[in-house]
Amino acid sequence: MRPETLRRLMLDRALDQLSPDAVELLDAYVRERPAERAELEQLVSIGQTAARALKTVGDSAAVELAPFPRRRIASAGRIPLVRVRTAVAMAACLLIGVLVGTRSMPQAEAPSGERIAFASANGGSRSIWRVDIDELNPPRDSRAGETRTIRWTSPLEIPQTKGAL
Amino acid sequence: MAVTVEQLEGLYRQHGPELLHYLRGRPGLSRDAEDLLHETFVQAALFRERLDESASPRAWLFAVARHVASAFHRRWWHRAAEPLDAEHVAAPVERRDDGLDAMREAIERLPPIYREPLELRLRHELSYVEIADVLSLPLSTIRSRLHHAMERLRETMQATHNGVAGRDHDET
Repeated sequence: MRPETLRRLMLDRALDQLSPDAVELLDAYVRERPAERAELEQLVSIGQTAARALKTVGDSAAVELAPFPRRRIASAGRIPLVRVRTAVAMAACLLIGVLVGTRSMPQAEAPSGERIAFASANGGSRSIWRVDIDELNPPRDSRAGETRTIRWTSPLEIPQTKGAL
Repeated sequence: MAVTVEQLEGLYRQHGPELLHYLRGRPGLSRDAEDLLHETFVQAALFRERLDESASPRAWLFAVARHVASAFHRRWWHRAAEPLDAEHVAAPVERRDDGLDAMREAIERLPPIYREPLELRLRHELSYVEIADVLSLPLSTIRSRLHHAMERLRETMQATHNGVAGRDHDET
């Protein structure tokens, strides 16, 4: 038998987890081997002492149990009233919020071509953060098909626009 | 068919004392062990279909108790309220036996991953399979951890024994 296998069997035996047949085989095996037998006896002794040490920390037989929590079990399946109230209140708040929000929302105006043209006619200012509106959004009617690119080589420079027809 | 409340009450009478001991033995649960035992059976009642399916109702109840205890530990106010090892070193019945005292100390010093399966095996006499169910770990892991625990206990006890023997030798 391989030493590791024997070792595992000995530990299982010390933990009282070997079947009676396996115990018998193991005992027969170590009977002729004094070193292994001594090791097995030591492990079994440690297992027994550990079991005694653990079992004597209090005694479960002496415990008096409180009555079975029948009422608590009966009420466990129900959803508490407080939770129901909270859920209803939250749902109501959400509904009111949605209603108020949808009614008071200003109607968004779509940008018209006129406005863009107006901005362009008044000379849209050009700065590092702003590019003429008509350069970015050319009116479709007059410049359909035109493409313009913005070239910005460095954040310290003003972006350059290039018209590409 | 799901377990009835009457059957659950029978399990409470049968395994309640043992489960109560298990809960009391866990660090920081001394004062709340009875409440947690009740909670264990409330949870068992809520999930009684699983109890019916389990191979070992005892192991299943241990697993539920362990989950309930872990959930309890996660609540910060309880962690702050009680030192963790207050009850774990509960006043034992046999305090005069030096060998047992040394063994208790050796077990206390084991890391929890080794101590827990060892306690389930030697104190509560759960099989390897049942321990694997309780701890939700593979059987091979449980076996390996138990073997490590035993090896460590053997080393500690040998060191203690050698220390005592050395002291005795020095005194003579």
